[in-house]
Amino acid sequence: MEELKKIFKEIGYTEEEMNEIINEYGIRDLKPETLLENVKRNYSFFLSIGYSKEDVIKMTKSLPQIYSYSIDNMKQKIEDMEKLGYSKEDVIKMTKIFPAIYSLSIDNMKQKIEDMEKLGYSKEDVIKMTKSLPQIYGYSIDNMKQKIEDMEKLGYSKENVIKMTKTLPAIYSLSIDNMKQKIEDMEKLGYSKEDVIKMTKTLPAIYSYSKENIKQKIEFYDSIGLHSLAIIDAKQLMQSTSLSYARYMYYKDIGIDIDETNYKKLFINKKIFEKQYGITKEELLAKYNYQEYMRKKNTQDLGQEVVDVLENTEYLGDTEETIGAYEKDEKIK
Amino acid sequence: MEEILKEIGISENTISQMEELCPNIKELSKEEIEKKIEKLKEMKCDDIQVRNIISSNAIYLDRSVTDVDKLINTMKDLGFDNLNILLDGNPYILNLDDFEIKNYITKREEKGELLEDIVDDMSANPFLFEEI
Repeated sequence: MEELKKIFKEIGYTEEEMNEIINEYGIRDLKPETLLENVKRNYSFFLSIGYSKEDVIKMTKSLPQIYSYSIDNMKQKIEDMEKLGYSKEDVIKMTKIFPAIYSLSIDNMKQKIEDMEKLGYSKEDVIKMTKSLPQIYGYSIDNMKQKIEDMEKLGYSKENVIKMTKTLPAIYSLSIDNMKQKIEDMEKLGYSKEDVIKMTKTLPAIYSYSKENIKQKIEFYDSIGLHSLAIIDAKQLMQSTSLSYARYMYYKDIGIDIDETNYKKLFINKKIFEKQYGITKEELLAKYNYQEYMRKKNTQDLGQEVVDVLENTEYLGDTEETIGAYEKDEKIK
Repeated sequence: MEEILKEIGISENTISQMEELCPNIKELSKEEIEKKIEKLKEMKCDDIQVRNIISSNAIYLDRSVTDVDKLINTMKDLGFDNLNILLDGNPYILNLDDFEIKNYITKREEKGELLEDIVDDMSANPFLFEEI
């Protein structure tokens, strides 16, 4: 047991993590000497195929049973997955994110691919989607069907959902309440539900953007009269607001007003922009600093709020009058 | 964990959405999150960009620092600059591995495009990373 503790410590586990691992189902029945042997063997194996120490710790904390698997089984899993269409590097990346892949049978994985093909994805789609969201192998097909149905109720067609999830598989990990909340957040920013459905078909990533992020983008485009950009060309929302702001200000300084007819100027390639205007992206971003602009704007807004409060608070008004009366009395004295 | 996310301007509501997308973040220590924030600042991300990137891509917080370093170094070697702008536009880039970007670019090069043009195209159109 002492040697086991020593090796866990050497690898980098805390005592608490070690205790959790050795008490886990599938591990706790192993004799200490067997577990010691397995830990040494599997740890070396993982390092030899490309995982880092950090990865091994993270994977085994999430799935301690990995220390009960044989090397042959894990090698076989990698080979089987390569036959499905993944590269060895893909498998390593996927198992870092979702170690439970090592506990799934290859038949189970093949079944998931077949089930998803029946939903309307091609095998290539499934391979691509699971590379970025390997957790899909852990989702039940019924839950996935339910997600499609729920999204249809929101106003998407089944084809829309298939297309959107190919681009953003993470939609499958979002709850429908979360998606409804995103739609409501966008409605509060001045779009109709239909607008939101339209823009998310083009840019499903809107569902992954935080409220803070999307609000900042929309408020900026609102401020320059481009509220409709999110509907007519949603993909452009992906450009950093810092760059859009800098380019907008630059155009303004050289006498070009940006509106719906020429907004694409904000999104041209760096090379073309630099060639045409002779200013690099670095120079532009340094000259027109968005964060600085926001800081000033927030301070001004705050200042205005204070003025509004002063003007609209009877008590403070009374106080001013009282002070005035007091000063008058003092002068008389 | 929540405390530090709130410090960088992320609301409680957004934090619960982040946890829904990546439940592992609940287990992360303050130091682990600080390391990821520091990494973004090394790429010259300002406070707004740090908030945007983390709040829109919780998975980044759960990635290994080694993999993120490899990705960033590869992107710089390939010619990507102003990474703060690129990642603010598409925070999901941070979930890619270095080899995935290399493979994507190699495929386009094989079709006759020049590396410089591909990088320029991807930088101007961050949604292209979704093709990877």
